[in-house]
Amino acid sequence: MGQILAIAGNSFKDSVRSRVMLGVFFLAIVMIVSSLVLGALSFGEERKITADWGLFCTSLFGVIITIVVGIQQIHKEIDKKTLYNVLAKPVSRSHFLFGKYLGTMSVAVASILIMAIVHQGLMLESTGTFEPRLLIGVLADLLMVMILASVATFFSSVASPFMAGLFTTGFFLAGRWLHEMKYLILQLSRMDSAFAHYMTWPLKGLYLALPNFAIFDIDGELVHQIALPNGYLLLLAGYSITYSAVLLLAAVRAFSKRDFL
Amino acid sequence: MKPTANKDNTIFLAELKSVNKVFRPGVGKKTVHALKNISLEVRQGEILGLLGPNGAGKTTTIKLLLGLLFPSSGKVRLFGENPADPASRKKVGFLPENPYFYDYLTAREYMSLAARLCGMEKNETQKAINYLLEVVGLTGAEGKYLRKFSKGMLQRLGLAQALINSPDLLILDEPMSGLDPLGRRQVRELIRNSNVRGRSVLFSSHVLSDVEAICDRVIIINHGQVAAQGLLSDLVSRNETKVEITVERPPQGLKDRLEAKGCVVSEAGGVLSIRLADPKMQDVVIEEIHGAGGNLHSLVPLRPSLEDVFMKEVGEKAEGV
Ligand SMILES: Nc1ncnc2c1ncn2[C@@H]1O[C@H](COP(=O)(O)OP(=O)(O)OP(=O)(O)O)[C@@H](O)[C@H]1O
Ligand SMILES: [Mg+2]
Repeated sequence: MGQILAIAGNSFKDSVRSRVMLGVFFLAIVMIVSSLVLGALSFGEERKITADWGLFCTSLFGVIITIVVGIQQIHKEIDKKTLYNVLAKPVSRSHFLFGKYLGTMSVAVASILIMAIVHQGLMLESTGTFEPRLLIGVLADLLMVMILASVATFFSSVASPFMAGLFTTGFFLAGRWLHEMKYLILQLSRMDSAFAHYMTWPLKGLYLALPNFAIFDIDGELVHQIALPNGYLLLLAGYSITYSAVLLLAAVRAFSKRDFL
Repeated sequence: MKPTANKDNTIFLAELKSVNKVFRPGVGKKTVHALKNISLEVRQGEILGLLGPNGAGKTTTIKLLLGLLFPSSGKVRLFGENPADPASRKKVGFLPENPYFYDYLTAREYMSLAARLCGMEKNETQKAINYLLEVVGLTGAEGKYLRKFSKGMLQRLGLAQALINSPDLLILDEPMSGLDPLGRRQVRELIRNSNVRGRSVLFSSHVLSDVEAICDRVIIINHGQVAAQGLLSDLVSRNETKVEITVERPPQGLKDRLEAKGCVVSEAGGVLSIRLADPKMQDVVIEEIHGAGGNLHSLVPLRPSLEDVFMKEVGEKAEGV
């Protein structure tokens, strides 16, 4: 465990000391704060705009930061060969990957939490009270990037950074539009053509394999103060833990057999 | 974690048994047979030099020992264990070729990361770190970011981090490359001094003088095969000793007569020097010189250098390809 934490802590330091990451984070904060301007422009809708925009920015930058950090963390180690120094120590490859995953998660969690705090400050500024219920959206974001970080870790342990970036982003977008995919499958299966029928098979496979990121999007419910089903967050947590565990184990399997050239 | 021993109880800390390594760089590209049925071992307490030209397979051999690469066939053992098992590396220190370290860390942070990765306790690390940084001459640079380190400083930090767990086997891949003469000398001395308490050192190089200066035993590899191996002293004396004889103010015609006997003779500044590949020839030559009334000035046996051995083993093979 000490080794995993050492590797995670080192990844965290890398991101925190990197100019690029600080730049992205600064941009995120600027974007969130700009909701004040948007709010001021919309008469009477200030609360809604500030709430909506803040949640949107937190999710968006949470996702961007997770993908960027998740992929470059592992790639950099291989490319610059700093990995040799780690794996030549009595460190197993699974510990290395878990450490990297935890490192990515620590950066994602820290930035999402800071964005959330800034957002709450803005809510106070524009409406006179904090709005703790919006933090449920933040929790959903955290559970979502847990899966996303495992997707990034998986792809960077089997593919080049470019391909890993492409696939991880693809997974995210497809996973976010899974409802639309389901609709498409339904449409195809109703059509009166053999081709359309066969087309549904790979789509159904994808539908089952892709992480369902759509279930984490509860911003609408929160902003419009609609109640969530009972135990919804528990469901999300269970889903996140299961999905990321499976993917991390797959990543370890692939990574353990790899030659480091 | 028991090192394996052979019949005469020599202890092997690391060994390769009939190992082949084939690289398949990708679809449509030529496969590279980097190691061909290679067998070698590292013994306890020795400084072993892995010598070979560029592309001979030195780095590949080292990476196999450390479990960074897997053999295509054959067996690799590190402290008697499969290198895929992290426990086999408990007592190993490694300095990679052209080392690159996390440049956003300070020297002290890097060292303490290395210690934690070795599973060391917090209370034992600080003392070890201070001591090692002093040994490699980096005291005063502890708080400096590694991106501001010179190549020589990085190489010395690399040695310090390799020594953090007081390893029984130190593996160094070209530890002197890219260093200036002073740096080379410092690193040489560090390696010599680190060979304490029965610690073994395996280091690769293509620089003969470095190997000659610090090794006990040498393995010359070429084209992924062992071309020669043995104690440095044996390797060098195995090849016959050459002799050089010089004659001052040689009498007329001596040069011609010696050349007629098949000797290689050169004349410079009134001194005749005769090089004999076969030492048995020397009596004949001396008789000839005395017979001609010449004055034997010196007779020097020329010990072949490691370079001669290397050129013989590697040069010939290279031409044969
Ligand atoms: N990733 C790889 N893909 C294909 N071939 C490789 C790869 N790595 C090494 N090789 C080949 O394996 C052979 C041995 O390489 P290796 O790096 O072990 O040599 P070396 O003795 O360390 O050389 P140098 O002195 O240049 O460091 C070379 O022919 C090299 O081209
Ligand atoms: Mg090499």
